[in-house]
Amino acid sequence: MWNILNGEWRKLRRCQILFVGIVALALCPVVQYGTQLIVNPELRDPNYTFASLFDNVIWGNTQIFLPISLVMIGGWMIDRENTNDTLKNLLTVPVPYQKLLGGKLMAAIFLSLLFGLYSAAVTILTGTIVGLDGLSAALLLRQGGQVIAAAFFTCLVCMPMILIFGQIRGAYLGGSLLTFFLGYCILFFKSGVLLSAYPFSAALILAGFDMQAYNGAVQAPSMLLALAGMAAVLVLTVGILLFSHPGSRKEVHKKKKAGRKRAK
Amino acid sequence: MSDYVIETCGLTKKYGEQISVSDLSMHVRKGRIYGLLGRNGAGKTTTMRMLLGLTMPTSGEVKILGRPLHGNEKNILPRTGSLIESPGFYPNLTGTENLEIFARLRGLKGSKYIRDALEVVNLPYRDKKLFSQYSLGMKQRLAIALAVMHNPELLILDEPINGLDPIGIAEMRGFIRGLCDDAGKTILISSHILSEISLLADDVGIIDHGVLLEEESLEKLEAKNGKYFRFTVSNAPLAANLLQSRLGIQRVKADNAHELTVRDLHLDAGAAVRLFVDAGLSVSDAHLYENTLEDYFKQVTGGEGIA
Repeated sequence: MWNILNGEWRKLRRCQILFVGIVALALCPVVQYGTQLIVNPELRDPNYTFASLFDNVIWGNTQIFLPISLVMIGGWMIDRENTNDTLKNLLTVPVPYQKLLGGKLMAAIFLSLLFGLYSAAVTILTGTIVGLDGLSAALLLRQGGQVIAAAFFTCLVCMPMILIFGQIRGAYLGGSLLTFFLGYCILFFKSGVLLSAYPFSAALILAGFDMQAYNGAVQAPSMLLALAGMAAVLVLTVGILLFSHPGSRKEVHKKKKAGRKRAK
Repeated sequence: MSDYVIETCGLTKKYGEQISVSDLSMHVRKGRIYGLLGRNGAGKTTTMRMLLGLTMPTSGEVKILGRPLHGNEKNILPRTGSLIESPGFYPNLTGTENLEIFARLRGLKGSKYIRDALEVVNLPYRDKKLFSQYSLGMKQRLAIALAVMHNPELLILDEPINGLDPIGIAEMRGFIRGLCDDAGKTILISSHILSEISLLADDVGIIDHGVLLEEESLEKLEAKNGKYFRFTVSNAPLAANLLQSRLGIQRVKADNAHELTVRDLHLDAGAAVRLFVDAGLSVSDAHLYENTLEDYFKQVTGGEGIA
């Protein structure tokens, strides 16, 4: 498995698609701070500090930027084996298809951790440039850690989408948009089971994010439900992995072509 | 134990109602080059994909290196090298970086394997050129390097000379021949180019519309399709009868009322003409013809399509 993971990492060399994540995560603190500036002065938070910016970034990353970036990059990592016609070389090594997909998911998780680290760094840079107060080692450790943890859990939530849309040729772009929509929905769950069990909410709760203070949740989220939500995602991921098969799509495609030829 | 490195029995692949490969039983002997010859779309690639487990057969069995492929992929595939259809590599990596990924997956340690494989196909080690910048010939060479990198016993190469220039083709031919003669490897090679197969293969299988029409050693095929006499006479059936009864000649066939084909080369053409004239037949033409392999393949496959 280590060799597969190592290979996946090497395959990412010079890949421009990584810029999607790099740009998106660089935009997040800028957009979040910019939003603060453009709202009516009476609605502005007079005590907007580094802690506020970090909260905004954690929320924005999980709601918008990471779902788009991770599903696009992860889906592309799977899709490219077909578009570059490299799958046949891997399967004849032989690398089991499920293990290959597993390696890609692990690479995506590793990438999400790096993105988290990068996002924390960009947030510090942005906050410093705009002159925010409140930067301390304790804040860095707590909220910087939360940025990385939220990125990790968000990636776990995105795994089923990566697997599904990566295996449908060219669909990873559509998948990333759908995941963005799903991520955006956390805004609407302020109470009940979905406040905690909805996977994207669960990612934030498991990262230690204060949903009540930020999202205006009317009740305290349940860690147990959040764990259950995340466990459901993991079970779904394993299920999709087990049912994934390399030949099925190509053969269906060939059958359709054969059918069209007959129809002509 | 079977002497065959590849043996298929009733191998069939259907896509819906379309039959891509039909009841194919092929036999590739150890230490030989087997040329699978057929026009485009004849079923060569589908057959090779089934031999590598990339496509599941609808029915039939594949045995590789003496074992059924199904269920033994982990043992069999590491002992094979393959090039199927076009070369597939990561365009953002160099040739060496591409090979490093597969070497690691195959458990090959150190750079020696990669260096040797690239040397064999005349590609530089640690070149900075990305795969996306390679010419078609370079891509094909890299694919061959990948196929031989782990020193496999069996090579399955689908149209390996595609995209190579004439010198590259000659080099590749020598290289493949060397792998068989010097390193004792068994090689299955497919092509739609007859001359390539006739220059390289020891055994030939002719496939058309998914059916293996003929499987024979090249030597026997050539012998089978060598010379024949053709006579044009006033009465071909009578002439055929005379040759068989008076001269004891076999393999005589009256093609129509006036033309006669004799495939028995023991025939003395002069004696035959004298016999016909003595029997009151007029002889307007007597020729010794030589069939080329190309003629034979056209005859077997029922038409054109093989270069």
